[in-house]
Amino acid sequence: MGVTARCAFWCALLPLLLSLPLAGGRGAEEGQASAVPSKLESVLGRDVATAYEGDAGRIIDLLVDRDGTVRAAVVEFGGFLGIGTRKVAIEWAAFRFSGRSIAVDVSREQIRAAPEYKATDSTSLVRATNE
Amino acid sequence: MPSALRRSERGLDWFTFFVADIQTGFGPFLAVYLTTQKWNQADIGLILAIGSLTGLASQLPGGWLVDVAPSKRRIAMLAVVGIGISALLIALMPSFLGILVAKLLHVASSSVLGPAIAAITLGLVGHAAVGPRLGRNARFASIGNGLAAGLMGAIGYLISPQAVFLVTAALALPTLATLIQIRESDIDPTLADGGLNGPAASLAAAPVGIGRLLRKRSLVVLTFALFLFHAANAAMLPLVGTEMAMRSDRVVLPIVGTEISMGQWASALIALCIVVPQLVVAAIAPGVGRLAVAWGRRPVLLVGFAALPARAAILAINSDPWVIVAAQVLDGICGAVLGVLVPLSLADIARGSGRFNLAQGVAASATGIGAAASTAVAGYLATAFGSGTAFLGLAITAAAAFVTLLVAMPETAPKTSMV
Repeated sequence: MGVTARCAFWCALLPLLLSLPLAGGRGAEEGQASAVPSKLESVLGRDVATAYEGDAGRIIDLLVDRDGTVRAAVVEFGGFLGIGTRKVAIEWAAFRFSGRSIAVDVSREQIRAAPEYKATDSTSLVRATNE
Repeated sequence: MPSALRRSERGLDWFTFFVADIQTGFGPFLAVYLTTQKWNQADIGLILAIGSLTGLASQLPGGWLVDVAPSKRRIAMLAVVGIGISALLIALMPSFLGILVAKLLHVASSSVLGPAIAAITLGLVGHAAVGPRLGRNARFASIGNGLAAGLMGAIGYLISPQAVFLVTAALALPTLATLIQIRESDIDPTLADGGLNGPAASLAAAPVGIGRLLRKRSLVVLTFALFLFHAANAAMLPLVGTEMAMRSDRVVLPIVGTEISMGQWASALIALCIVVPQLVVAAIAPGVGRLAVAWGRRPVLLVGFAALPARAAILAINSDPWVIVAAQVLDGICGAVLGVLVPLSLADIARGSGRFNLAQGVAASATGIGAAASTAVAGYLATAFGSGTAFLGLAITAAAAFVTLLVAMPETAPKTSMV
């Protein structure tokens, strides 16, 4: 069993070692992309932090009005291994883009109080906090 | 010879451990990964629906296939390879076609792997010793589950969601290595199908008709009770998770004294809710296996089925995070009892039929249908009437599962194995 255990250990470690330089390479590529201001990027799946407390979420959908103007984004917060995640619709004006990071001007209390986003409902949006 | 058998048994220990590891990433985490791969919600919903429908449809054929397969070890090997390839496809080819193929491959492999583990166990130790041995399987599986949840959660958070599937694919290799430790010659293929050996074998050479097995009262009652149980159980943890995310206030860590963000705290509590039951299963599952021999199956099953309505009732009236975590101990009791007693009762019921694995497919189908119904109904109740009502609905369903067993389930243990 000693051999099996050792094999198991290295097999588990190998992809970790492999994925480290991979992740580094991707970071460099992204750095380049932000150096060209006119380049357009997808925001789907991008990380979002609330402005004050830094709770992390991820943009999973964009909501537009009849004219096609983006009015809100659906952000998925929290959870562990996909269990207990929470989808909240936040008005587009609350999003702040600076370089690689996206922040939203809403507080954790607002996210906590917001209803879970459902595609079928008429959406109630979380508004930007007025400073 | 006895030391060779011990080597096979130790192989089985670690095989159940690693199978639990390679299955962790395929759960709700897949949806999180796909959003990071720029998948839209409609496609994610579609792929998950295809997965659960094919999953339901494949349980019976999967069990049947394990029954007719001459080598249970070889078919388990193919299933592990299938899961490894599936994980690799998910990591490297996150297009719709790639994920669809990966999902179908994973579903087909899992429907075979579940019954194959129990079949190898029964074929290895025989019916008389299978109770405690299933307890040992459950212990190693839950240690694997608990460690994998921690490991995969950390990898997904610290490295990338993609790395979770690369690690999963890599873990298929030690899984195969441990399976090879189980010697083919130690697995009796007739016993593994729930057939009889020795002098009785000539009387029941061919497997009994499928219809005759399916009409057995004990199988019908157990299947219906399992459907109700999972209709009550499956939605409970996701609902707890959502509750945690909504209710946890600003948190100051008791010992360290620093405040952590709401999102991190909710995630940590959910992680605790996942790990606590695994610890309980690891601690008590072998004891449950021995009790099932000493007391008989019925009383132990009833204890496990009683723990679920108790847990649901606690969740319905209480929303304190620590009480919720404590109530997860009851989930561990359910997990240990069902993990051991379901395959054990099925081995009793299918004994001499040569269709043990088909019976497992029947139970797995009922489990899957119950779980699907659970998420749909509880989700509706939670949005329409609040989570308290949803937990109450789940508690009533759980009580119905208990009453079904209490009223209609016969003792299935063979008379001779009772002390």
